Amino acid sequence: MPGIAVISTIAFRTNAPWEAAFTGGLGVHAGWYVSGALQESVGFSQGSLTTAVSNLNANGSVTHIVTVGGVAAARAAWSYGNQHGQAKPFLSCRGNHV
Amino acid sequence: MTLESFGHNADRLDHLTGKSAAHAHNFPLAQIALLINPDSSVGADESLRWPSDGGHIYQARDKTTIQSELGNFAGSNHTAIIISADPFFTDNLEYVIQQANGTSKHVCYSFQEYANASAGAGHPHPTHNKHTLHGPKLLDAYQQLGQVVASVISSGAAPLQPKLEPAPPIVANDP
Repeated sequence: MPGIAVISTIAFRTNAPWEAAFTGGLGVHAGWYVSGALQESVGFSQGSLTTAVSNLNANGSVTHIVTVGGVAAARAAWSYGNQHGQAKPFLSCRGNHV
Repeated sequence: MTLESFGHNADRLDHLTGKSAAHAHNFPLAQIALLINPDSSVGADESLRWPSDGGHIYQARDKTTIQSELGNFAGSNHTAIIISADPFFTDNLEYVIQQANGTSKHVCYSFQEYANASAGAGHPHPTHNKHTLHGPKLLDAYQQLGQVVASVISSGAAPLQPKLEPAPPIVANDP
């Protein structure tokens, strides 16, 4: 079964409605969401975002990574994938060019 | 998927200067300012795309500079300001609203969530007739993202690049 985990530069669950909206969108596949793997309020620094991407790549429950909260998170996942041949696939919601 | 947030300030300017028809304002272009986060790529792109005859670009990277820059805007000759769609501002939504309300000037917000519809005691609401909500509803964007993710993974298909078009501008006339 797929395991989806989210990296967010900003709050995603804590005092924020975005997690509920996202899992609502997953619909019948909401069970794929790995709640415990959430990396939220990571910030925008390359170091913290790379660490979050690395954490999820090391998490055996996670098969797919979703980045939200701006292009910085997407870039971090992109860069990690370029540097690690076995990196997990990622999808992004962003507001700018990667 | 993309919100194309970097590209919508031109539409917001059209709305604020009266070039777009629906509920348009009539602010002079030179009196419309922009608030960006200088630490983000969105802010850099917004700066590059900002018209040379537009108003000043204010820069805030934390709560202290949100307060000081909106204070500078309040004391300036600018009559309106666009708040960037940068997630940094969304993450500080209530603080931005609070500080923007203090300017007593027109504020254009980039997402519908700035209506802060659930606002109650102690939670700021944008000033009546002093703001515009011009942009998509983020809640819908996150739900749509969930749908796309489920579709891509379950079908094994290559992901598409869907875009969320901005919602029609709303000139808030809230009670």
